[in-house]
Amino acid sequence: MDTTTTISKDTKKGTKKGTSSRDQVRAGFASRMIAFILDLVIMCMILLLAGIFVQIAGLYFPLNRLLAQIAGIGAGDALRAPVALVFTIAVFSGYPVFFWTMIGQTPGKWALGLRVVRTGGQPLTVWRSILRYLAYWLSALPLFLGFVWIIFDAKRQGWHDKIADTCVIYVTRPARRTARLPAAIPQ
Amino acid sequence: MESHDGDQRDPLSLSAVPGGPTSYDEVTTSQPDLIEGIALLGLGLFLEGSNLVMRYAGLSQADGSSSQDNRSNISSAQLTRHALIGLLVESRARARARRAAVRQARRQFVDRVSSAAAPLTHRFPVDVSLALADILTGYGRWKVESTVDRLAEQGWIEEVRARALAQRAFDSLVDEALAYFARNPAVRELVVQQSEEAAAGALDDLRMRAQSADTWLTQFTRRVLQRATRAPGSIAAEPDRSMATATDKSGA
Repeated sequence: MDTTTTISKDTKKGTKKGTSSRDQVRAGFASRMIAFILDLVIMCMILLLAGIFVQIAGLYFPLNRLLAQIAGIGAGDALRAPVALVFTIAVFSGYPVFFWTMIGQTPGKWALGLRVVRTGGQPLTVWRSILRYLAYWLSALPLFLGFVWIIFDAKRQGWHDKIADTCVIYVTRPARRTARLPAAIPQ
Repeated sequence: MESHDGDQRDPLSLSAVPGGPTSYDEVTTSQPDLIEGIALLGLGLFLEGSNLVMRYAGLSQADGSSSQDNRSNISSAQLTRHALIGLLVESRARARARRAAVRQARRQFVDRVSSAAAPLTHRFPVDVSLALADILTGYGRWKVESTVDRLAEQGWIEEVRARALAQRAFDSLVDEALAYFARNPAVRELVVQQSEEAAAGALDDLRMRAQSADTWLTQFTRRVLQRATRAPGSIAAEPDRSMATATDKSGA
């Protein structure tokens, strides 16, 4: 289903029915920062679990010692640094790109009810997700000014949003489910 | 396991018992410990064997529907066994501590009597002193045995045992009740549903607060920017229409 069509239909429905049109409003700095912190926590947990897994796998396949004997370097440092670097880059870059492309929201953004879309409402492609991630670095390099720019920007876009032509919107809030009690407790 | 802390209120504390046997030696004092150890070992083996018998008997009679009940019975039997062993070991330790107190009191008494009667001993025959010691020793033994019998008649040991068993039974009952609720699908569904409700409510609350923070931050920034543009010598800038629209929508 085309997201543009969905958003325009929802907007019309919200106008006609008089319901809140907050779903199409772009998210601000506070929500996005909290979502980013949640994502950072999740990524750190993934890295921790990956480190434990690699350590255990290294005990089973002692490639570390083999490489140390071949290269003549310390057994503890032979593979640790490159493997850690590869895992870190893979997690920190693959995590947001994967989730932006697949469902349009990372777990942190899902918790805050946010979604990344293009300014026209279309979902992100892989290359646009990669471009947005690379633009993250441009936003972070000048003392995170590109992120703080969300506060002052009229369209609530950071530098990475402007570069990748994306924006972050509030997703329609799920209706609160009413408590459904079971019929009876069998004796 | 407590050993000496109950001596103040323990009626078996024999610090006031006048004397005891003077012919005790280390062999006679260490011999009961060995016997007690062997008895404890035998009792433990017996209880362990009985528990195994109960377990196999329960499993052999078990069918698919009553396996949970058999499991709970086995756990109750184990709890009872542990309670009995703990009670027995504790009572043995108490008796050992009391025997040490008796020995100490006896030594003190003999020393005092000896020092007090030293000027008179040369006037009396030795047989009289030995007879007096025998009398005192017999009195001490009689006192200890009568106290133990009186406590047993009063049900002190039974009370301690009943309390220990009642505690274990209560714990077992709570475990069984929780296991029943955990097995019940309706209760389980209710717990899962309530957990999901709580999680969804917490997420909704977090989203609402974050959106409120967004609105506040946007309004605050707009006020600050407007004040900056309204500085003397500058032209008042018109607020950004799109930003105002977004703020109003988010605040709605």
